[in-house]
Amino acid sequence: MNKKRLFLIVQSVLCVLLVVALVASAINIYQVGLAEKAADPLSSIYTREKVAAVLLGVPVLPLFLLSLATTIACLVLGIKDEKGNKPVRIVSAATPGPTAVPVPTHLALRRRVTFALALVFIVAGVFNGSAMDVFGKAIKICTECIGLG
Amino acid sequence: MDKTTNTTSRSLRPSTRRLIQLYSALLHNAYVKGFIDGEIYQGKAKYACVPGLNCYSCPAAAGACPLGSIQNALASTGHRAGWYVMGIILLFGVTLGRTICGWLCPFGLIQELLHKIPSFKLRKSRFTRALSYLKYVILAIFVIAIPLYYGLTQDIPMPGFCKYICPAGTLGGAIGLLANPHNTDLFGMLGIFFTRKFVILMLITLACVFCYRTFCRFICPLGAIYGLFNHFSLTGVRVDENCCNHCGACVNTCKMDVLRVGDHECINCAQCVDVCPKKAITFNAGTVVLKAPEASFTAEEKNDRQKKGRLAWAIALAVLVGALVWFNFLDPAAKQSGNGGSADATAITGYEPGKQLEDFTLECLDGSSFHLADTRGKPVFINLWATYCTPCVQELPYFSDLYTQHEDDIAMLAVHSSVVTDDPAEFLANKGWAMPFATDTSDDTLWKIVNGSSTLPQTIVLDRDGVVIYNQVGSVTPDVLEKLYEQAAAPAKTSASSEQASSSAAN
Repeated sequence: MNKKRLFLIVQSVLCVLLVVALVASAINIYQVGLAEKAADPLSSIYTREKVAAVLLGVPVLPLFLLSLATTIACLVLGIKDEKGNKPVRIVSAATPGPTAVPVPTHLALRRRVTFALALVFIVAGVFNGSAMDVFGKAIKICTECIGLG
Repeated sequence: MDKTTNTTSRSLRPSTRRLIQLYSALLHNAYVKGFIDGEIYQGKAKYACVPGLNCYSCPAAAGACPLGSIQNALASTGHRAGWYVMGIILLFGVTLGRTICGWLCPFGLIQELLHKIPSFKLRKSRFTRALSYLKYVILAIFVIAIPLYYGLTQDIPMPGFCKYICPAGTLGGAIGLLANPHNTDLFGMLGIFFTRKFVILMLITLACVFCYRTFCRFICPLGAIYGLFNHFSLTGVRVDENCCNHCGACVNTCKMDVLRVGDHECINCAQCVDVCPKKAITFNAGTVVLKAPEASFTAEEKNDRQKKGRLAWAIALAVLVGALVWFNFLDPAAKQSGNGGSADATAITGYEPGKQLEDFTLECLDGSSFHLADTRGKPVFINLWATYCTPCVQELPYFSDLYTQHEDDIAMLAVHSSVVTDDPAEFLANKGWAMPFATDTSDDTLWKIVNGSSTLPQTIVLDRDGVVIYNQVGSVTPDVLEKLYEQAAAPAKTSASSEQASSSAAN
């Protein structure tokens, strides 16, 4: 096994382990906190202290630092997966059809109509109050919408 | 060694596209002060939607997220059509198409940076191409069907994608707010929603390391919408079919699941421009060529383009500096904001547990008047809500039940935010909720007295002496309400109950 492949394997495993550790910690905090909440409905499932203990403790912090060091080493040594992102099946010259999406008929007209429609909608929205809907939603934090609960 | 160093420095040097992505991410999040204050921007710029996926609850967000806005608009279909956000999305679509994904989207940038982490990379195939249609299913179910269903049948604004999936909201909104030391009380509301969305965020993050733009390719409904405009948008990659020899170099180089240059999967990153052996591909905005193979320009044209490029960057930087100064220092909303609202520790009145809440009078929607001083001797529940806040609307029946259950020995007031999009009286007409409702006409009245923030919902509980025993943002359950009632109704003098509730809140 060459050095490059070894680095890539180590880094891939570290990334997976780091995410597994974070997910497992979150689920563990939730389950422990849920039991505490059953006893006292006013208690909190997550606290800053519990989260800090996970982020700054074993195994999350060592895994993160190790992964960071491996990333820097790979970047300095120019190690990367050369085949990455290349298609499994190479498109050949014999591929039928045009390379680009065919230009739609009446392209300019279609753009102008859509553009005009967009402007009409925006003006109509300002008058029917839907602009206020956007503003109202954007300036208040809806806790459930962002996953806070 | 020299060769390796040169290669490394070349690979680390940011491309023009990367610089534009960084620039766009900064412009999307120009309210940097939000990260310091732990509050979101509440100025007029939030009337405008930004082009990329950028949660409007991110502390630094300067505009509204188009995806969140369209879900909110669909949920409000029963009241009014969301023409405004539809117009904005049409405008972005016809002018930029998926160029937004490739050049402007902050979450696209994050995904690309994650993919820079050296590891084995997943190769694109028929499987990934088939999976790229998943985002249309997600668009149909989570962005269209769920908000429409809940909006029309239950009058609840339910942003399905934001609530169940959106990793940009979890990262920018939830984690962005939680990371601020001012927002310790937000931890109190975390539960199953946060755990589920955190797991989704982690899985997408991991997938992005191994698979280029996982979220963008397979999940993002905003990309799906912009993709519908891609073949006729003003900006995009074009192929001169007269020069093209159909070698397939463009499609083979592309990291997205494109079958043709410029199809609905193409994010117009223009990397194919450099690999075309026949110099047949250009990146255009209308008739203006933004990127073309170097060899297709004369020396004079190259010089001219360099000058124009420098001028464009100078203007762009001036705009960025202007935006940063405006949003953080000059905007009236920025001047008003700040988390310096903590009460004087020695004061007797205040909004914190253990303090006597300052007296206030509010006109209720039914014409009666709520005067806090008149409620002495009863436990008092104050709820801050808004018609456009999903958890607010969902928890109001719990308050109503509590009010009905203890009607003779409870005072309750549900106060709508001063930002009104639907008439609260009309909204409440058929709900049958028992407690009195009022609207805060200005955030300087009740909102200020109870330290109401931009986060909704919020519940404030006072004991029989008018002393605060609970003041927290976030949803409450019937169990929590009953427990709070027991504490507030306890006949003993305030100190014991307030200290107990405040210590629970602090935890």
